[in-house]
Amino acid sequence: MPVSPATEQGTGLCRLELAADASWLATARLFSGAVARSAGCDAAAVEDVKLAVSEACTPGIQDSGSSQAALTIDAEIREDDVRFVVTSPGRPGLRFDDVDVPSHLDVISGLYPGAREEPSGDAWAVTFTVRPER
Amino acid sequence: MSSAALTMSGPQESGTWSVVAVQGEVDLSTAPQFREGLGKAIEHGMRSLAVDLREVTFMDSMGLGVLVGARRHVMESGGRFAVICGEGPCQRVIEISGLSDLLGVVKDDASLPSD
Repeated sequence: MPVSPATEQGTGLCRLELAADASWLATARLFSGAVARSAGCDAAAVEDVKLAVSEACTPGIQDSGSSQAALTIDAEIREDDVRFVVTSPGRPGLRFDDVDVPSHLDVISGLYPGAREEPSGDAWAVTFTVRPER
Repeated sequence: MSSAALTMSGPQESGTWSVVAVQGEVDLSTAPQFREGLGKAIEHGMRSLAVDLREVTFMDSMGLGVLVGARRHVMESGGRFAVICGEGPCQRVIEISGLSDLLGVVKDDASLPSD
């Protein structure tokens, strides 16, 4: 799973590629939670990461239809934080039809105020950074 | 693959409320089942519907959408709606979304409004 090997400081890049299928969402959460835990996040912070990744992946799965689109979760463990980038065919910032329900990006931004989405080729990339308490 | 799983049980009476309990994970893959389960409860005439999320181990905004929709159906027919939610993942997403008051969140059965 690691793309670049972890260094002595525990830094490195992990990547998970998934088919844009709802049945893989739980796996995406397991992966992101494991990365966060290994980076030193406590249990509550791990749950936040799992929620953010689930929100980031969901619109891509909804928008993919029957295509073979893929989602990519990159987790870069750095010295003081972990940067997650979720790239998918869907845009998390789009509002739901129901005005009472927050967008996926609203939830992610509620967890990580610096979260952002931006176009990435034909897809959208959501980036957020987690700083474990040490 | 580790797919999310969801089960629903009830309704059980708690005072004047009918409580539907949910167990497991609520995300894109299980939201249709969650919506259908609450829809059946509403169709069966429950006018004071409480959804117990204390055994839900994960919920994202897909679950919020189901809850908000169910609440709307119940309220439009003159009923009452509440969510039972202790500390944990459900409370977190509801708080972040600012939906605690709208959904009528309480911490346990005993905290459900009496009238």
